[in-house]
Amino acid sequence: MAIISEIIFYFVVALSLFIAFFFLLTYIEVSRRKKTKQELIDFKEVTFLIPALNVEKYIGKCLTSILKQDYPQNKIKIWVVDNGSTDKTLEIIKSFMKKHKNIEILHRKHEHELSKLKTESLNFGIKKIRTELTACLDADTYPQPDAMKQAVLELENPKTMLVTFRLVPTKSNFLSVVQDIEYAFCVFFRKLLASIEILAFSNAFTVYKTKFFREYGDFDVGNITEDFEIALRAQSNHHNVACVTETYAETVVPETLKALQRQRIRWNYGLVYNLYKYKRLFSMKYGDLGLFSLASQLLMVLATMIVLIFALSDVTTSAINTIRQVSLGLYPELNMSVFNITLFLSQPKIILYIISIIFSLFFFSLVRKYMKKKLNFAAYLFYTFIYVWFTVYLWVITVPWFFTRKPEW
Amino acid sequence: MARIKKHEKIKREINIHKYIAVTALTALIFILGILLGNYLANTRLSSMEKTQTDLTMQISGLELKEKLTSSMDVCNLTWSELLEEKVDMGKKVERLETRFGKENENVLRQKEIYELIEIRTWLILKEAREKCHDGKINLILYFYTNKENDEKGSWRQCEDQGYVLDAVYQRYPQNISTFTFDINIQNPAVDTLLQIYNINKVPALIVNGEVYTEYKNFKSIEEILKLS
Repeated sequence: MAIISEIIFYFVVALSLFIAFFFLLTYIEVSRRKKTKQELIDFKEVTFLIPALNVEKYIGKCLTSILKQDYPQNKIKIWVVDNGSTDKTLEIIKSFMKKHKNIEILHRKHEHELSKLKTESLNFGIKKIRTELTACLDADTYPQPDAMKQAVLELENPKTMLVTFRLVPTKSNFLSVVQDIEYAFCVFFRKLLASIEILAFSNAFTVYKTKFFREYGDFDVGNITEDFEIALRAQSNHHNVACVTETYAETVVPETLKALQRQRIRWNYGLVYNLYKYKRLFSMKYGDLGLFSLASQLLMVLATMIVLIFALSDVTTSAINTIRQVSLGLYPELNMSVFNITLFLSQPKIILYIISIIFSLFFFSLVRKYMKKKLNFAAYLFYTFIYVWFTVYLWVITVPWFFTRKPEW
Repeated sequence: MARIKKHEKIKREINIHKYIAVTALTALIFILGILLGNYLANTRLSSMEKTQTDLTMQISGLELKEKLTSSMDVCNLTWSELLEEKVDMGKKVERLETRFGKENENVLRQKEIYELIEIRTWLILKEAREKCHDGKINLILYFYTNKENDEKGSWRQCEDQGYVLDAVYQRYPQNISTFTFDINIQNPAVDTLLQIYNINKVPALIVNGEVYTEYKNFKSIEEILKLS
């Protein structure tokens, strides 16, 4: 058992180092490229598609953020697909419509259970779109004024079919500050993947070339991470997914652990479900996409889950020992003289763990530099030493869902 | 809508040089990490060996002094340094067990040397106790097993006894000196001790010459030592 746990630990460390070096070399490769500042000349017409169901808290701010786009308003259409809201969502939208003629509400009738799904709302709108570009936006996500311009610049690349954005959590409590670190790290790595054309990801704010839907079909109805599925679909057809980091969109993130758990179970389930659906991408034919981008995600998930199980078994063993000592009428003391730094460091796994932490700190400084963003260091420490384990735990608890039922949206 | 043209697609390729570089860097750091860890572990072993030599020299010095003068002034010896070094060495053995495992060949060898040093220290202290009528220091010999399914006794119960002895020592560090012996260490000196005190099951304690061949809790040990 101990040997197996050691082997797994070393495998995970080697894998993490491999991934870290891959990103590092990619970063060096990308930073060497010459950057040319592009000016946007061709402002393409775009329809913003916002699926809405009881979003009175967010919809006003969302519409305002679109209306504030540094983009000709006559080139922008805003369609809110109402899924049968019963709160003040419709009232708010109507008050905007009085002043802005480019806003419309698309009403849907709920004929069957599927109609409640976000994917159905999106498809309902996509079928009617006649503009060259389609921007799918969640009602609780607010793009910065230059977002649309940046998206169009990216879409000038003929290989690019969709553009995803850097999302920044609206900070309401410590959990959202920690998620800010997580999002910053993720988007940094996604940008690197996008720069070598192997990103398979999209999120709450993504701009598509509308012809993509006409060629490859609409959103996969019932898919709980439909944005991820569509990015995989683009990649499977050899189209690029770009990632904008020059600007960002603010987004509302879960404020409680329970809400976060619910969201992540859905994401985790969706990730595995869709990777399985597109298993054919794990092939040399798809180059670095199959060999690195997708494979590393899946392997890391598997490996860290196993490490967590072993770590938990270690913790359980020492807890049992402590309980035994207490049951013997003894009070276990932390004997500081037993703690010895040379002995502690003499374990290769501790050295490797320290190397991993140095790597993480290095990437933290890169992310800060690259994003030109101040990141809370305390939140970073919390993220590295505690939150990461929580996300691994969330992976472990997602496993039973694969054998029972699909998480709800 | 215009159909997407073929030339607008990504050309898939694998940059083999990049993978080679990444693999080489990973292997380099990985091996360096393991080498550094092992180097530190060896440093630890060397420091352990140094402590052993120091202790052996001290004890040999005392023994030779006894032989040369035919009498050792044990009553005027200062024990604290000798005992501190013994305790320190015991802890080092314990740490080595944690680091390399209880079955490791090097660990078992260090443990054997440690046990021999323990016997020599114990003999000197025993003499001091008898000659100087110094009842302050209580000498406990503790025999245990680490082996699972050992017919001589349960390793789990031995572990519990170990916890209890640690706790007693922590409470009365000035009054107790404990000498621990793994009964599965094959050494004539340890075997002789087992024979003299007729010990064939563990956990076993010899407290100031009295043999106890069953588990003793904290309170019982306090009572035996008349410390409570």
